[in-house]
Amino acid sequence: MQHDEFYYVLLIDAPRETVWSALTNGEFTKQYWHSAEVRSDWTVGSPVEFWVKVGDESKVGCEGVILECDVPQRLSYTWHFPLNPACAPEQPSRVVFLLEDAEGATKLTVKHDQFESGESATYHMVSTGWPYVIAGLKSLCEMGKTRDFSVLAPD
Amino acid sequence: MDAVFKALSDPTRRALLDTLLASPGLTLSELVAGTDMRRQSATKHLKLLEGAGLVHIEWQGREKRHFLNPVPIQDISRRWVDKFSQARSDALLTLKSALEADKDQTPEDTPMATASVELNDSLKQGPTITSFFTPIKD
Repeated sequence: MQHDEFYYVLLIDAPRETVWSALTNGEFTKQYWHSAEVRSDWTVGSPVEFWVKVGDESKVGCEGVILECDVPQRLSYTWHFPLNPACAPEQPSRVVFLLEDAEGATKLTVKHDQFESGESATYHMVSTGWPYVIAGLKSLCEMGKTRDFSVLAPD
Repeated sequence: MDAVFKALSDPTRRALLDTLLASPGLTLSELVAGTDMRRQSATKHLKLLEGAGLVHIEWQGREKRHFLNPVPIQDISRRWVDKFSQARSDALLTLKSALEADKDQTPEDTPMATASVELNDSLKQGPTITSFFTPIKD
């Protein structure tokens, strides 16, 4: 059977608004998400971009279009890596963040799906990368600071 | 965490996780197909895995689909493996405080002052942000 979707589910001891900020504010994403700064106006149909430093230049390392934005419970956008030669030709995949209140804490479900059929390079990249991004996100939300665990992710 | 270890202590349950890693989203029937596992036994094992947070359930129409959730295993790894890097950074912070205390009594151009500045730079782990905890208005 083909890999077509996967999930990460975790509890974060912080309110949903905090987790939402950590996912949508570039100053925060820089701290745990491969140093990438997310930029978007967070309205459906708008672009979302993750800006990364490549040498001295700033480039868009990941780009997509907002599909759903329901503060602070549901966010989804398409996902495409334009800089990675293996991933660039692939069709955009999709990521969905579901934030559920759990007595003041947040149950976060990250779903990533709609990968290109067959051997998807994007699938390989994100499936190994997400655990580290999420570890940093949890740490940032709970303690107000984090180390960027994503640097530990295998290539 | 006891639940995670209990769930992982059984070879059948580990095999179920292996199958879900290779083939996300299988139903119960698909999981037992081609194995000698009975449905009833698989249901029991899956319930335990679900209780430990290792299996995530998605209902798609009337189909119950099963996915591996690796986060609890990663938490275990962070708890023990990351301890070592944590201890190291604590030691560096102690060293940093000691050097900074020294700097107050040392001229700026001494080797000690230089070492302190370099350590300050290397210890930057991203600023602690207080505004982060102010919920966003929308």
